Amino acid sequence: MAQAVDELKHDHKHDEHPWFFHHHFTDVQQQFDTAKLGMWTFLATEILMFGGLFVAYALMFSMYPEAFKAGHEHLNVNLGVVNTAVLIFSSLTMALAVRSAQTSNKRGIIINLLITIACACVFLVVKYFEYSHKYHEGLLPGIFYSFPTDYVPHIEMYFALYFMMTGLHGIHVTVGIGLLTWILLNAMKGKYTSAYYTQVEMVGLYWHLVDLIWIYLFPLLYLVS
Amino acid sequence: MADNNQGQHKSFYEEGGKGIMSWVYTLDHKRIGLMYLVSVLLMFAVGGILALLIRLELFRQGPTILTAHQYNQVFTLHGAIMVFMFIIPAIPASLGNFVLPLLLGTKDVAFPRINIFSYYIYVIGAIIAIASIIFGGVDTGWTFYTPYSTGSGGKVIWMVFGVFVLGFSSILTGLNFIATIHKLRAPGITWSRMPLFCWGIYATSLIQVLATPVLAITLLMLIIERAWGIGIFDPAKGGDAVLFQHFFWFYSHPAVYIMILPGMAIISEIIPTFSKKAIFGYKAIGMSSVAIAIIGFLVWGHHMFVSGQSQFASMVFSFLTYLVAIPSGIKVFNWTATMYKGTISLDTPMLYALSFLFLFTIGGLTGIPLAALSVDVHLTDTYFVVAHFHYVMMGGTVIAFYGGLHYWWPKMTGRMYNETLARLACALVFIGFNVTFLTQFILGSKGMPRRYYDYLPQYQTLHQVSTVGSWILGLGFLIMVSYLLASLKNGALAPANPWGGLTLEWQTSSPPPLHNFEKQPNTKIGPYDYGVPVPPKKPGTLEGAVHGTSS
Amino acid sequence: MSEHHTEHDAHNSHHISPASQYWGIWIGLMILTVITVLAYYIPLWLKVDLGAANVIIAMAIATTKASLVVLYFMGLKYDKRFLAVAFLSSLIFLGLFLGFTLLDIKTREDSQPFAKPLYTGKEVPLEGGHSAGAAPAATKTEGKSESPASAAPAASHTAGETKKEEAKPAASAAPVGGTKH
Repeated sequence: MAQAVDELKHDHKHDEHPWFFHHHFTDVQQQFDTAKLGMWTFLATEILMFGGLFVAYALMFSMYPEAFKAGHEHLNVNLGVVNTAVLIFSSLTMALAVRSAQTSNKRGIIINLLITIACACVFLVVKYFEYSHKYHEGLLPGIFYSFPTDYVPHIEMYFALYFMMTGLHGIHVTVGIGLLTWILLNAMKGKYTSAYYTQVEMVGLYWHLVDLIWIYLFPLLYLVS
Repeated sequence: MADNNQGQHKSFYEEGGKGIMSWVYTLDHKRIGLMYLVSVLLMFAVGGILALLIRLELFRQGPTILTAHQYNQVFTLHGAIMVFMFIIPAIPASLGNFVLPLLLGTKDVAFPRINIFSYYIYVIGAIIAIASIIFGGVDTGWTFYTPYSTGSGGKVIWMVFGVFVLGFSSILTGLNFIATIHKLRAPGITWSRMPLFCWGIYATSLIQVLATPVLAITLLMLIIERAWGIGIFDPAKGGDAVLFQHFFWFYSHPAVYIMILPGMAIISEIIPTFSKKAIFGYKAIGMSSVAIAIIGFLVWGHHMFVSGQSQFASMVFSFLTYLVAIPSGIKVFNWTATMYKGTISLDTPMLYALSFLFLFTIGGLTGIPLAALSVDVHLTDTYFVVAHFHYVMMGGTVIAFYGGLHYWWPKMTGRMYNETLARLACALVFIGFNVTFLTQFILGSKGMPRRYYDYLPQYQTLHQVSTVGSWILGLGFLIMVSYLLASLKNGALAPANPWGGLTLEWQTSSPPPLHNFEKQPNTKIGPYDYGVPVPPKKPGTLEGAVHGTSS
Repeated sequence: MSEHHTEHDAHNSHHISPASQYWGIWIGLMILTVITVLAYYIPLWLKVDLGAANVIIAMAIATTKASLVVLYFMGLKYDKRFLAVAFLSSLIFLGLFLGFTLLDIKTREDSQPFAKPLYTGKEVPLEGGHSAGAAPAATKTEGKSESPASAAPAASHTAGETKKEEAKPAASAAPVGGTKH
């Protein structure tokens, strides 16, 4: 028994564990798999959270299709298309960043992450212009709706959903920029190689989800007919 | 590294460092579990005092100690604290956090940082929610139904935002446990050899992860509805107030299984240990937990039978609700069969388990008339519902929680409590509980509506009996607090395995060392292999595993 | 990079897709985006009303795009089966949520969901004493038994949906609010 105890203690004293390894896992592979499982579970919760809004959208749309049709005409489809393209491209560069990490290509990670962050910022800037346009026009949710003409009953409900859905999505984009910057700094320190790139991959999964939700938001909000 | 004086292991209390900072920054699941434990017990005390106030107010007809407005605030706060701050985190986050990695034979949960993070989120959420009462109070009831929550005064947004934050704590705990159970089981702990507590916690975590996000978005929409008047839940603006109830109960009905499943999980551990007999129907109990979790998502409409929901939807929900009775019944029969011809010892945890069986069965059976559409129309919003809910939640979950607390108390603190006082307290709680709530079944069936500040003279006697019951209940808990606190100072040192259990937590010292096990625990023996001969020892890896004395 | 898109290093079996595959998926996503926009504009130009089919087409394209992102960018195609189960379960439960809620709203007979109730709270200019007394009465029946939507008689649906109409018969309906069927 003493021998077994010694063995366990001895094991801990080994300094050959890489920096990223946490002692409560048996090996690096298990740690990676666990992180991935946790991340996908988290993505499931994200989907259900957005899902509440999608359900609300579906019900309200089925009740007031005219209001939604009228509401979407105040949106600029071109800006929606631009943002869709920007986000999809950022998803591509994110995937390439993960791939660069898998192949220990430090320069590749950094460049791809920079492009991803730039795209995210472009997205938010476009969103800012859209929001401020609506703010000035009075195309606002609920009691704040004050657009002078073309009142269709319940159009303010469309804008409530528009602002809630894009707002929650925008918060996710903002958080994403923070996360991307964090892994960018780590990548510049050379932390990520083919031996360890869990953080890049996890942030990547998050970023793809943000893209995924936009893929649904775009036709639902901009292309109602 | 800890030095090791052959047999005299240091516990995690010493090994993890001293002082307050060693707790604030800890990543150890055992310490986080204990921090949760202290917090939820505190919340239970606050919620309990509010409950006593409610009962005291109802002792006599007419105003007694509270104004009608205060009364509304008190029952709202009682509900919100007990549901969101006590009972949901009570078992998984406190006892589960402490015990789950031990049962799985692993060193920690999958994501220790997320674990401590979830604790701090819990604290912040609780502070925000309770602050609402200081800054003006909330009188909507814990369900925040629109239009009360959008129209009434008070700090509804604070309270709702606090609950919103608490939800994230719950999600993170569930996520952590799912990953832990999937990936961190010790070699030999397969899915079919995992202790049933883990199955219960797993099913609970599934619900936490799948349902809580919907609560988050619901509460967010409620806040925006209140602040901006967007009208999704407001019929005057083209929305639908019943829609809020759909959103709310999509989370909150599964949430009652977040509350009861861990309780059932504890009972599944206590009963075989104190009957010294293999659990009857391992697979049935494990699978019925998952079945309850899934069916629990299909029945939320039974809270809305008289809300204006369509008759057809009510019929469907009513039918589906009956299905929940099947897995619940399976569990009760299996526990009873486990005790049959077992060598039963009536220690305190077992007394709680037996109380659970009795009270939960009453609670479950009174759910059936409530699930029946026609009967429910009569009983809805009466004390019958209050009594049913408390029989399941308090008689079920809270009793199981205290059973688990007594069961693992020696493991957590390294001390034994006074058995005589513990049995006395258990008896008082059992009697007090029944006196309080059995009368409420009668009150309810006679038509006493719930949440009312005042009542007609014919209800007074029963209300007084119920209030006296609440005092007995309070006395029981007071005694419990005193002997548990006393045990920390004067209690006898606990052996590694005071109850003769076979699950892995009993193979390590009490309290366990920082990394849970000084030596690889023996997973050759199944968690319920009572009376099965010990498999041959492999030299150096296991020692005295069955009636484990590791010291 | 090999044609099989798989690469195993010594320690683990992480899948690495070739960069060309990611670019290919991106092109696919862009094409689908163009199709989405065209599917919106073409019926407008041709002045045909596809009705509900429009939404179905848009959602079908979005789902195709989403599947590409999930399967390739997120690598679910090459990953453990359980992750797919975890991900899909969220969609299934979302479907249950939507399905049961619709089940209620689409089968209400005795009341018109979303119809404007006759009693509309604060927007009503309160005239006379009895409508003022109605508000406390409605709040007093605590709990789940009351809902303005259920109390609204079907007739209110036929009343026009303009904002002015709301204010009309307030007081008469108020006392009924809360009682059922």
